Amino acid sequence: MGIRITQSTLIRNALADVTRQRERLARTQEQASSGLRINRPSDDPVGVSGAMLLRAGIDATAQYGRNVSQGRARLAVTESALANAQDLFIRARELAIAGANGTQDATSRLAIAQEVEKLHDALVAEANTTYAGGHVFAGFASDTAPFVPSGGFVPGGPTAPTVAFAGDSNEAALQIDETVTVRVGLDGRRVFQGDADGDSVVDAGREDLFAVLSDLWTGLVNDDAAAVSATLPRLDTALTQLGTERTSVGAADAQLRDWEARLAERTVDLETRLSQVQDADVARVYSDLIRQETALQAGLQAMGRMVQPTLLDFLG
Amino acid sequence: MAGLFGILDVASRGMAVNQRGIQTAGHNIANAETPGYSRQRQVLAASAPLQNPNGHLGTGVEQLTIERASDAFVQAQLVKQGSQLASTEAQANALGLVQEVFNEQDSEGLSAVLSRLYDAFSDLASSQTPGAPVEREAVRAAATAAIDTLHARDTQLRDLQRSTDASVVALLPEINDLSQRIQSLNEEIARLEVTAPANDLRDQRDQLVRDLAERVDIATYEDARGRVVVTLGNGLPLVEGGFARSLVAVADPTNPFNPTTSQVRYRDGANDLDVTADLGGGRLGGLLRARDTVIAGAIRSLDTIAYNVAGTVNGVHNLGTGLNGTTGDFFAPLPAVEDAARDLTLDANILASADSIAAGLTTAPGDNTNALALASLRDASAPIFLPGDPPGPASGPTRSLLEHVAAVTSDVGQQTRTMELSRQQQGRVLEGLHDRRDEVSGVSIDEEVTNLIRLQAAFQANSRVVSVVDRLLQDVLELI
Repeated sequence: MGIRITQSTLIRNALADVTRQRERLARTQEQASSGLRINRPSDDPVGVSGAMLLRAGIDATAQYGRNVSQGRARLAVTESALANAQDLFIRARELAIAGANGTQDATSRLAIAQEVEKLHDALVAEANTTYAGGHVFAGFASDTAPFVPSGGFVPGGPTAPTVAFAGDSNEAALQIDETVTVRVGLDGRRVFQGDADGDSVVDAGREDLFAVLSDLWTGLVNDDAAAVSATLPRLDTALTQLGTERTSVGAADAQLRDWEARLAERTVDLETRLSQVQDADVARVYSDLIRQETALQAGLQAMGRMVQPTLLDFLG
Repeated sequence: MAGLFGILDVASRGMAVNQRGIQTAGHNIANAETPGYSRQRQVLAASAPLQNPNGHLGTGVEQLTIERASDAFVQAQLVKQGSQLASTEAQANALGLVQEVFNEQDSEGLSAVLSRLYDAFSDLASSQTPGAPVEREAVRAAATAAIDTLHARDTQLRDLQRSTDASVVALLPEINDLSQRIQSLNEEIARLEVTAPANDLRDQRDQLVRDLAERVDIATYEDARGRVVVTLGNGLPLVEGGFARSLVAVADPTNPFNPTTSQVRYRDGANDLDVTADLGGGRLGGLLRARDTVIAGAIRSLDTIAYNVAGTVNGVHNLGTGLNGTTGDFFAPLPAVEDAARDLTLDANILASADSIAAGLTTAPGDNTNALALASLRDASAPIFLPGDPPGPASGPTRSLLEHVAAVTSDVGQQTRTMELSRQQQGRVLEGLHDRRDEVSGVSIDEEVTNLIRLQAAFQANSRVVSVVDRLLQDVLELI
């Protein structure tokens, strides 16, 4: 006697097969509608952690991109302030050359001195430049203006204003990658007062820009051609000092620009990898879908014939 | 004459036996779709011959008994595999729900909210506005979102644990009812089998034993009187002799989770024992494992995420100073890993004022030094504190928090996948066993109809014997 197959065996097995086919079809339909190969952690436990880390990486890269934009905006403001200051000193140098000329008299020198006063005021304004409400040359004390002039220009004395530094020498940094930070702050005391070490004395080879202008003014007001021409090499030093700082700002900006491009490339790369990990292969999903639908239809048709004839059908 | 009447006896007995055969075939056909039914067949033998020196004379047919076609091995396997599958199914169902709690493929998950917290720290660091008031609020909002997400996930898991516990409690009366019914069938079978096998009652009992095995891990054997003895996986008898024991649920005061879950206790006249840990198989065992291992494990995994986030952020935050001069923690400090996801909150200072967020090492409004350090936690790897570690050192693997979240998710996915595969595999084994059972015990209509035709012919032949004897008797009577 062979294997006894009863009707209920056939029906139960057919039902189990059709149920399995439906399950498979449901999975494939889910992939087709979501476009994802991984719809839940158990679909690919290893892939899912990879996908999560890639998404976190894309998120972090976007954040670094925002930080770079912030940094570049601040550097642009800083650069423009330094460029304006440079222009001021080019004008101051022209005025000094004019003031040192022997053809000038006290009256004309006084007129030049008045322009120097304006230059001094403009320099204080540039040194107190703000971006987004923060003073870019103030270090961490960004809420207050770092350069505070006291006393005005009084030709009678003559007395020129002195400028005190109210900020600190911290140079703020930004995170632009996992382990990379870039300095976007400049020490205002070094830039405008030539004091990098914070000892309140102008360093060798540097100049206090406010003092140079004040001295130029004093020389002009005193109608002292020698004193005026003595400021010329100091004005040159001031211009070099501003130029050096401007170059370093430009270099930092160039670094950030390169980094922006690199981060954009990385985003594309991470997104490609994420897609490889979690996206469904559309062509394959659709061909699977058609194949599985056909198989299910065949299974259902077979089940329809399952109520097969028994011996009873053939007995009269 | 006596001889002729003897032949009538033979024929009538033959007809009676054929009639019973037809009844058996009819019984089989009627029960073809009855769950647990085993086809029955007559066991026939020639009845004892008349002693005669000229040759023992046959006296016809005799029905010895009606037996059922059943295979004890298949039944034992059905009990065992049914128990295993039910346990696996309960665990797979729980894991399917647990993994949805950790699923980030289609919704905002833990990893996304943590990323945003680090983003907020980074925005705080790169803010150009003195004191960064907007960014401080954003940090607080991102931290609150992370806390809310952890709380929500924790609540989901605890709700799942509670509903699993409710299923455990609801299952026990079913188990006790089945034990009771098996016990009463035992008594009836023992009474009936004094004469002949109680086939239909045995089928019913086999079915009840399989139903019971689906609910709880059992082992069975038959005693000398044909009564089945059912013991729990740990050997304690559930049905034995005259009475059944019961399983009852009692709130477990030692359970570390809130709300408390139930203990399963075994009670008979003399004993009252906690058997929760001994029940591995059946739906009950599966539900208990889901409750105490799967879901409990997931809750603790969530706790490790919460504890380590709080620990690493606080570690850096403590080094800095708020805009308003306060120092201290960012998240309220947690005493232990256990329940960290439930208990995580912001520190009181941070709650009181966003200016307490230590963005700098000084109170200077542009100081972003500490915010930079907080932002760089995103990629900082450190040993992960596991439950039981604090106040000792961390014993977990060294990884960043985002890696930890990914690893936890991957682990839940792996468990789910493994359990799902066992479920499918065990389901196929059980299908195969049902096929085996049908092969032995199932009713084939073709076979029964063939039997009917055969028995009909035999009955007709026997009745022909009666009519022959009848004619012979008439011949004899005409002689008188």
